Amino acid sequence: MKRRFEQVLAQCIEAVSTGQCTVEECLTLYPELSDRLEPLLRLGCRMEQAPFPEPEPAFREAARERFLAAIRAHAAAPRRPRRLFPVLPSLPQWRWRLGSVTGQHRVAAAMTATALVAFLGFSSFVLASSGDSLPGDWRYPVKRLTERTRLTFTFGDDARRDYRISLAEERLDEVQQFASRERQIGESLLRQLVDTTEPLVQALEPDSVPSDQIERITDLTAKQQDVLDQVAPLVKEEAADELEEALVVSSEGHAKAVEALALARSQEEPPEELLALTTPGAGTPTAGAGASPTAGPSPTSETTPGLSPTPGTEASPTPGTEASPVPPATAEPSPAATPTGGPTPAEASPTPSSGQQQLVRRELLPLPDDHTGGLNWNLIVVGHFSVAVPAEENGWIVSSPLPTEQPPLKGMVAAVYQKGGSAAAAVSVTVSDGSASVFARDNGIMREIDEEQVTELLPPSIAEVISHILGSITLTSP
Amino acid sequence: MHLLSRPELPTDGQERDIVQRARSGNEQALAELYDLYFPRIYRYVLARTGNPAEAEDITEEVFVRVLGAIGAFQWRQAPFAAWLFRIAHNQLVSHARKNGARRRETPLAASIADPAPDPLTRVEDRLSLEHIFDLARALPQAQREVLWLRFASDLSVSDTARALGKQENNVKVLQHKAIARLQKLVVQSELGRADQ
Repeated sequence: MKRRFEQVLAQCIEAVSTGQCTVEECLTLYPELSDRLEPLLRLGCRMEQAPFPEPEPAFREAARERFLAAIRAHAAAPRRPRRLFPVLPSLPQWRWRLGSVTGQHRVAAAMTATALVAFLGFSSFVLASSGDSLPGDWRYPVKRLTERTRLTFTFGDDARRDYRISLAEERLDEVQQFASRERQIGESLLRQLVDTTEPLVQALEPDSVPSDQIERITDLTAKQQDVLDQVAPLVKEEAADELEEALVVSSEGHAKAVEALALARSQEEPPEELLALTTPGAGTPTAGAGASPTAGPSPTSETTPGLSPTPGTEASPTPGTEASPVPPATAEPSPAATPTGGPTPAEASPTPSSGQQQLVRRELLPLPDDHTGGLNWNLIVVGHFSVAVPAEENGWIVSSPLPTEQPPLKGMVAAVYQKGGSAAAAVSVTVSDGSASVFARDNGIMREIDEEQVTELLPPSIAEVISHILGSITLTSP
Repeated sequence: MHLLSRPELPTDGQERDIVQRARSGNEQALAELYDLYFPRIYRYVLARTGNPAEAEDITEEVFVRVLGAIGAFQWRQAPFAAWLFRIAHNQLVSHARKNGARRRETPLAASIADPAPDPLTRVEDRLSLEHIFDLARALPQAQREVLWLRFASDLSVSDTARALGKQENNVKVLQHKAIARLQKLVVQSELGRADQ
C-alpha cells in the first residue's frame, strides 16, 4: 500500500498542477487516503505552483548574447593537437640532466632509486591486497581506483557491462561482509550499491544485452533484495532512505530483468541438449533428429521455439516416464524429476561418465493431463528442482536456466504473461531454494506483489495460472 | 487557484536532433539548447545557492562548460538533461568549494513573491516559500535534488528521473519522502515560532 500512496501523491500533484482537477477533487477520489494525502498534496502543489523566479530578462538577454559570442569564438579558435604527455619536458632536457649526474649526485640518485623500488614494492603489495578491502579500510580507495582504471581500459559494450555487473556484485558482497562482521551499514555503502545497479537496470534491453548477462543481473537483483532484507537491522538510522531506495532499485530491477530474460530466452533457439533430454530413453540423445515419436503425448504443438517441446522434438516418454507428469499442486517429490525406470537427467546427459561430476541438466516434460487455465503445461526439471509452467501460448513466455550449470544450482525459471506487447504479470522461481516472486503491472510499472495479492490484483484467469505455478514448485533431496 | 503551465521539454527524437547538430558546432542548435535549458538550470542553481547573483554567474559558467564539452557528449552514457544537470551540479560543488562556507548574501525572499491568499488556515500556507525552501536544505541530498528539479526546475517526474539517472518510481518515492519530511519540518518550525 505504501507504494500505492507514493503513486497517488505523484499523480495528484501532476493532476492539480496541470489543472485536471483541484486538491479537493483529488481527495474525494481517494477517500481512504485523504487524511494522509491532504497535507502532503497541499504542500506539494504549493511548491509546484510557486512562481519561482525566472532570471531577469535583461540578464538573460545579455547572457544569451555572451553565449552566442562564445560559440563564435569557440568555432573560430584554431584546434591544437593534444599532447599526450604535456607535463614531460622535451627529450634534450632529459639528456642534459642525465649527463650532469656525477659524484654526490650519484649517491642521491642511488638513494632515490632505492626509495623508488621500495615504494613500488609497497604499492604492489597495497594493490594486490586491496581487492578484499572494505569501506573504511585504508586500502579501499586503492581498490576503487583500481576498479575505475580497469573499467577505463575495458573496451567493448559487452565487456564493460560484464565488468560493471562484477562491480555491482562486489558492492553487494561488501554489504554482506559488513553484516557478517556486525558492522553498521551507512549511507555511502548503500549509495554505491544503488549507483552500480541502477545503470545496469536502466540499460537492460533484451535486444542489446546477452541473455547470460541478463541472467546475472536477474540473480544479482534477487540476491540484493535478500541481502538488504537481512541487513536492514544493521543499517544506520540516517541511512533509512538509502536502504529504501536500494530496495526499490533492486525490486524493480529484478522485475525488469525477469521480463527481459524471458523475452531474450523466448527468442533463442532451444538448446540441443535440452531437446535431447526431452527424449528420455535414448542413451545418447541426438537433438530429436532421430527420435521416433511414439504414441506419447505432445500437447504443445502450437508452442513457440522457447522452452516448449516442438513438433520436431516431440517428447516420447517411455512407459517409465509416462507416469512422470506430476499433479503440480502436490508437494511430493516429483516423479518426473526421477522417472521410475527411466533415465535420470544426469544419465541422459550426453557426456557423463562414472567418476566425473555430473552436470546439472534441465529437462522439459509435457504434462498432458494438465489443462489448468485452459492452457497446456510442461514440467521444468533442474536437478532436484521442478516446477510446472504454461506452454508458450496465449501470451505466456517462459525461460529457465541454461542447461549446463554445475551444482550448486543457480538461476531461475521465469514465466511472464504479456498483454499488448508488454509484460502484465510474471513469476520468477529460484531453482536453488524454490523461493518465488510474483510481479504485476500497476500504473505502468511492474512491481513485486505478495502472493496473497495475486487473486486480488490480477484477472482470475491469470491468477489461476500463477497460483498453479506457485503450487507446483517441488524440491526433492539431492 | 492559479495554475502554471509547465513548459515541456522536447521529445527524445527532437532533442536528439538538436543535440546532434549542437555537437557538430551548429550555432542555432546550441542556441536552442540554451533557450530550452537556461531557465531550468538557473532555477536549479538558485534553489541550491539561494543567491540570485551567484545563480546568474554559475548558470553562465555552466553553459560555457557545455560549449567546451558537448563535442564529447554521448547519448549512450546518459540522456542530455542528465548530463547537463550533472555539469550544473559539479559547477555548484566547485563553486561551494572555492567560496568555503560563505553564507548567502541575499535572501530568496527578495525574489520570491508568495501568491498564497491570506489569511489561510493551514500552517504550511502561513509560511513563506523562502522558509519552505530553507527548511528543505535539511533534507537528505537525494530528496533535495528531487525537490529542486521537480519544483524549482519544473521538470516532470519522468524528466527528473532522466536527469538523475533514476527510475521514475524511485523519484516518486523520493518525492513522497521529501514532502512528508518537509511537512513535518514546517509544522515543527511553526510550533517553534508559536512558542516564541
